[in-house]
Amino acid sequence: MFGWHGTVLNVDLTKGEAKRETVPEALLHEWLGGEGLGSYWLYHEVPPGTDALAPDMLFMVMPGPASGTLCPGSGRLEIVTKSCHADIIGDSNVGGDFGPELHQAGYDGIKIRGRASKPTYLLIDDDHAELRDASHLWGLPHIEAIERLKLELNDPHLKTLSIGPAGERAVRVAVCYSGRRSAAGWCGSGAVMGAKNLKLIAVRGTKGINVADPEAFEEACRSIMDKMMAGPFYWLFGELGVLGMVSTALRNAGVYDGRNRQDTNISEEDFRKSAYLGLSRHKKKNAACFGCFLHCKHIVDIKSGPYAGTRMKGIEFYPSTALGCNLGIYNTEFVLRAVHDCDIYGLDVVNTGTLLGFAAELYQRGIVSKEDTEGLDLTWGNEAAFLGLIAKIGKRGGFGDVLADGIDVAVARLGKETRPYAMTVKGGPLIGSGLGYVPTFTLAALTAPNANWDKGAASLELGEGLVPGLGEKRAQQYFGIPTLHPESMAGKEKIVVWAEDVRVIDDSVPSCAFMGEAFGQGVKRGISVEDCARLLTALTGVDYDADRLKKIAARVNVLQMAYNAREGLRRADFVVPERMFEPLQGGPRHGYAPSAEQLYAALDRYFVLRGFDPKTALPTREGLERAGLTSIADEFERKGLLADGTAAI
Amino acid sequence: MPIKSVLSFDAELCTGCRVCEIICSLRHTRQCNSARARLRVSEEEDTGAATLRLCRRCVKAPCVKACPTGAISKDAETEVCVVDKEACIGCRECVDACPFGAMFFDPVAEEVIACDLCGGDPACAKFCAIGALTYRPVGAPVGGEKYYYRKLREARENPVIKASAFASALPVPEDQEK
Repeated sequence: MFGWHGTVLNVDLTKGEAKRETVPEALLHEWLGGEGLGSYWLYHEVPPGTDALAPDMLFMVMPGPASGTLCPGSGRLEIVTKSCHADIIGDSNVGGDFGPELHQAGYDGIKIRGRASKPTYLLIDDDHAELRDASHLWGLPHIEAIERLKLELNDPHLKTLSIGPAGERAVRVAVCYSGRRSAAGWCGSGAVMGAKNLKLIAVRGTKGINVADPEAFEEACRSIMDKMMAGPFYWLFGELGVLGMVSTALRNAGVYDGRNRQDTNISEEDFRKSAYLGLSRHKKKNAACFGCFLHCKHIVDIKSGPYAGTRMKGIEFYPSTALGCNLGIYNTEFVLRAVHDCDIYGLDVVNTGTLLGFAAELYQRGIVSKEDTEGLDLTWGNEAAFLGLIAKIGKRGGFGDVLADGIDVAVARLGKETRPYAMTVKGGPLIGSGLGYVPTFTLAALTAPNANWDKGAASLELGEGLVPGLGEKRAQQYFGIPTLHPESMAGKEKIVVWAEDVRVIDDSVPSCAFMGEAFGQGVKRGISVEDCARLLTALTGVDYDADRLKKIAARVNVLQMAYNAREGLRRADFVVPERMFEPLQGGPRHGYAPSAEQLYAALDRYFVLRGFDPKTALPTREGLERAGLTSIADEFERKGLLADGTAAI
Repeated sequence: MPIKSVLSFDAELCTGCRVCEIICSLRHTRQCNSARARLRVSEEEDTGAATLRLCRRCVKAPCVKACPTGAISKDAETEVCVVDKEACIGCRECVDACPFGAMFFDPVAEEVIACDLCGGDPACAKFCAIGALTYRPVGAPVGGEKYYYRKLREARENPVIKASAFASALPVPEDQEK
C-alpha cells in the first residue's frame, strides 16, 4: 500500500493488550487519516454520552498518509478524543517529530481505550508493540521522564508522546507533548491520557512510507516549495514565526487583547517589549518541526535578568497573549518563563492563561480575596503571583484546584456572578487577540466543532482585508461577498466554512495549517487544496482532486457537528461573552463596537450552509445526506433529534 | 583526483527539519524513510544544537579498511564510498569504524549505505530551503553575506513588505543591543 499502511494499533489498557489491526482501504480513502479518520472512529466507536475521562473514551493518536514524508509540514499529528473541559469533540494538532516516526513505524494511528491498573507506557518498535510498567516515571515532569527512558532503553533518538504531573492528576487543562516542547493544546488531551494511566508512548520506526509515484510526488512538493519561497513573505514568516506574524497583523489592525480583554489596544512601547521584538533579544536561532521548511519556531536562551537560565524551543502567538498581556504583563521574558513552568507540570498555555486572567479579574473586582488565593496577590502584572498560581493549578493545590477543572467548572464553583469574566466559548478558551473585532475569528470560535477556536480562522481579513481596494476585489473573486474588511459581517460565514474545510484537509493529510491558504500564508501563497490533491495522488496512487478533498472535509466537519449535537450541544451553547461587543478602547479603532446581532445572524447563515437548523443546532436529513452521512441521519431520526427539512432563516 | 565540491553544513542555520533525510531516502529507495537516509540530522530541542552525520569522503577511509570482504571502494573521480552489494555481508564493521557515524545500515534492504552525492547533484542541498546544507567547491572563500540573511534582507527591502506593518516587526540593531 502507498501512503497509508492499512494498519492501526489497537490498545486496550484495561486488558493490557496492544494489537495490530487492519484498516479497510475504503475507510482510509474516504476519511484520509488524521482528523478525518479520528473523527470517524470517535463518532462510531465511542458510546454517546461517554465522559472524556471515562475508560470507554477513545484516545487516538492519528498521523495522516503524508506524515513523515516530503510533504511540506508533514510533521503534524492529530490527537483526537473528547475535550475534557468542553463536552464536544477535542482534536488537537501538534508538531514535533512523534507523528512522522509513528507513521514511519508502519501505523496509520493508535486507538487507545480502557484504563491501566498501574502507570504504564507503550513502547512501539516497528511491528512490535508492548505495554510496560511506568511506575518509575509517574510523577516526573515529562522532559525528565523522556530523558530517563532514553537512557534506560539506550536510544537517544526515541520519539515520545508524554504527559506531565498535571495530566496524571487529571487537571482538565493538561496537555500531552510530542517530544519536549510541542504541546497538543486546547482540548485537555493530557488529562485524557492521564485518566488512562498512560504516561508515555515511545516509538522508533524504520519501515518507512511507500510512495506510489516518487517522481511526481517530489515534483509536487518541490513546486509548493518554489511557490512559497518565491515571495518575500516566506522569509519573513520563517524569521518572525507565528508569534511575530500574528502579533504584528493584529497590532496593525488596531486590536490587541489585554487584562482578560478589558483592554483592546496595546501601546507601541508595550508591543515592542511583549511580542516578537521582546523575544528576538534572546533568540539563538530558528527551529522547525519535522519536514517543515518554514521553521516558525525560535530557540531562546535568556542569559540575564530574573528569568536567566530559561532555555527552550518556543513560543508561538497564543502563549504570548495568554500569559502576557492577558495578565497585564508586557514582557516576553516572563512569558517564556511561564511557558517553561507550564511545561514542568504539563499544562496547556492557552487554557492556563485564560484561567489566570479570569482569576485576576475576580481579584480585581474583589470577588476573590487574598485569603481565597492563599496569599497570592493576583494584581495585574504581578509576575511572581502568576507563576505561583501556575504551580498551584499544576499540583491541584488550594485555589489551583478550584481552577484545575477548566473555566466552566470554576464558574460553577465560584458563583454565577463570575460568568461575565469567563472568556470562553462552548467551554473552550477564547484567547487570541482580535476576537470580537475580527469577525471570522469570532464566528470561527462559535462554529468550531471542537474546543480549538482557531480551526476556522482565516487570516484574510487581517491581510488583504485591510488594504483598500484589494479587500473588495479579493472578496468578490474568492467568495462572492462584498468585502473582506473586518468591520463587515456580510457573507463572512462563507469564509469560515471555507477555512474550516481547508483546515480539516490540512490536519488530515497532514500538512501544517500555517503553510496552508486559510490560516497561514493566504490564498495563492500557501499550500492550496489543489496542491494537496496533487500531492496525495502522487503519494497514494488514489485519484484525488480538489472537489473530492473538499467533499471529504465538509463531511468531517458535519460529522463533528453531529457528534457534538449527539453529546447535547444546542444553539443556546453557541454564545460568546458579552464583552466581545463592547466598544474598543484606544488605538485606531477606538469606539468601534462589533454587533452581536450581525454576528449571530452570520452564525445562523453558517448553520444553514452546513445543513443544520439554526434554531436548535441540530442536523437536518438533507444536510447529513449531502455530506454522505445517511446512516447518521437515520440514527438522529430514531432518536428524534433530526431537525425539519430545510430550515430557513 | 582532488575533491571538487563538498556538502557543507552550517549548524547555526540548520532548523532540524530533516527534509534532507526524507529527500535522500526518496531518491534512493522510493520510500520516505529517515532510517534509510544517507545522512542524519539531529537537533537538541532546547538548545537548538544541530549536528549532521554525513560521509566526509576520507582519503584514508576507515570504512574501507574495516571491511573484511573488501566490499567498499572509493570512486576515483568523486571519492564517494561505493559499496559492492554482492560482496557486502552486512557485518556493520564499517558503521562502527566510521569516526563520523556516517556509514549507515539500511534496515529494509539490509545493507550498508553512504552518501553517493546523488551522482554529483545532491538532492539534500537542493531541498535545504535556508541554505544550511550547500554543495560548493571545496576551499572556495565562504565570506560575505549568508544566503539566508541575504534573502531576509531582500524580503525586508521588498516594496510590498516595506509598505506593510511587517517592516517594523523585524528587529533593528538597537533592539538587539538591549
